[in-house]
Amino acid sequence: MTTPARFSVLVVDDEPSVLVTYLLILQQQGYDVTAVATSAEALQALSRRSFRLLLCDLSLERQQDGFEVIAAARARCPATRCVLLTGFAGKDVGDRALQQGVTVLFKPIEIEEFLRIIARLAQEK
Amino acid sequence: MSLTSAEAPLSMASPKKHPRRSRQPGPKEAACQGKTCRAAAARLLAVERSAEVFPVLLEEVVAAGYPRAFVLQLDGDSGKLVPVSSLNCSKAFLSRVRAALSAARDPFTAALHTMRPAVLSGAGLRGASLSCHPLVLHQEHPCVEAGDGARRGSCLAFLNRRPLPLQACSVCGLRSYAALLAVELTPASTARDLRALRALAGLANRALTRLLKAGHDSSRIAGLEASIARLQSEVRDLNARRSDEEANLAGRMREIEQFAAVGRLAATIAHEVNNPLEAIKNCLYLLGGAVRHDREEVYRILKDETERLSRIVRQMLGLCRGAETAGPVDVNAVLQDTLLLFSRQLQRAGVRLTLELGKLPPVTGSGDQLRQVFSNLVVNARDSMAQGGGRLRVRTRLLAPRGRAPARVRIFLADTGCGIPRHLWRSIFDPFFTTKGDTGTGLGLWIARGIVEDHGGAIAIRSRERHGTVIRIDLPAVRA
Repeated sequence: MTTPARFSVLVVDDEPSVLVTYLLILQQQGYDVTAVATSAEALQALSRRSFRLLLCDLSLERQQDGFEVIAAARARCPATRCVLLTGFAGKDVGDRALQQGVTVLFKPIEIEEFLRIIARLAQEK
Repeated sequence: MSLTSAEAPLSMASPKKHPRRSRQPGPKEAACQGKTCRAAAARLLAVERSAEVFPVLLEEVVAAGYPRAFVLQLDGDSGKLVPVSSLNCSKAFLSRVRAALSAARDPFTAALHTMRPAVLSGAGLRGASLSCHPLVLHQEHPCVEAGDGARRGSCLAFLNRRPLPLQACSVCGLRSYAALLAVELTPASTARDLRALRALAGLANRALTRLLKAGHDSSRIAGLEASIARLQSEVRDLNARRSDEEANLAGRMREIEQFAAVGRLAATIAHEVNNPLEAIKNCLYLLGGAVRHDREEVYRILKDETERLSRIVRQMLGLCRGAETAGPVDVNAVLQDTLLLFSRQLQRAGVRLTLELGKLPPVTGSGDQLRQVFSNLVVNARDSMAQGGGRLRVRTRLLAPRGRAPARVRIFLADTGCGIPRHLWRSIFDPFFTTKGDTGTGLGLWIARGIVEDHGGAIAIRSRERHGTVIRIDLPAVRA
């Protein structure tokens, strides 16, 4: 019997301190975490492998290019769970996220809630 | 004898001696005297009061050589002809006339119906012959108020070329009159005399019609002036009220603009603070297990203060979050969502929840922002009942439009918590004012009021210490 592959997470955030702390917290929880700071790096990472979960800041180099990263992740693996992280989102973003089945989390995020949501997504088949 | 017509105060003139009676000429002579006729006409046209027309007419008739004359007028109440003015008529003569008038077919009424002069004689009059001339309100033009339109036909003054029942015009209110001049003829009276009498009666009628119309018009003008003055004062009142309302509105707009500007600034700062704060919070979480025992107190303060900062940032961001998502909002649904979110917390705090949601139309606004308002209020209620629990009652109902105020959705949140002392009621809506010490941001109610007012609504508070607090929110309803 082999151990099941660890739940893989790709974290994308252009704020280095935020990115590193997400990485450390998720690693502490035992997830297989990849952390990148730009959408280009994210697309590169996605070209190499697929992830079970994508945690992505809404605006990276450009406004709302988080959606491009989500599209790439889904193209690579349609079952990829996606979560957008943002401090502020207008109605258009909310609608678009809802339409695409993307969870939106507003910063500042309660870490307990953040971990609970990730754990729930990890358990989903 | 009573007169019902206010505008035709025709009085009974007592028989009196005419000044010119001493040199009374015969009827024939008088009719031929064009000078006398002209003088009579001039005198009739110079009469200034309607009540004097009949007495002057009678004086002129007697002056023309006729022995006696009287005027009968149609009484509005009884519909009967009654003597209203007479000259040289004895009481006995007038009572004979009255008897003739009460006969089944009185000869006078018939004369009035034909509108032609007639000579009457009969047993009731004991051989006297009377020349009778109808006097009826007769205007050549309809009243100004009837104009040339559809109402023209209903103007009594215009229509009344025949004797109508005594009544007021439905358009201008002018009262009609119908009367009869009766002159006793002498054996010497000729057809020419009768024509002269007819001319005199016509002249008197025209004078009377003019006087009545002039009196009526001047009272109408006075009435119109009064209504113009009333309208002017109403317009002045309205203008005063409008400028008050405009000033209020401008004041409210300024407040809303200020709130929006502060909100935008706050949101901008919050945005910038957000990411570093996120990193700090994450670091604190990561360090959680690795704090030296003697530094735990310092760590706790650091964590608590960071959480407080997070709450402030969350409130500030809530202001711009959803600000652009205005649309129809189901207040009941937003309330239910919010309460569902807090249900576990309320349960833990020992708070029982009662919901009484009325049937509501949607309000225009942002569901997210209203959720923030309700969340802030529910959190306050929960905190006020932290010691020993209590009951939170949430009620909504629709208020019907009143005056110029549109229909409103009213929301009550009543808790049985610690309450707020009266002297603090005003301050609790000020920014950074809190009764919760370090755990409060002092922004909750300030933001709640700002959002409610942004939605065109109002928020009010009532509270009693140790009994509880009631928050009332009114939001304008969207007309279905």
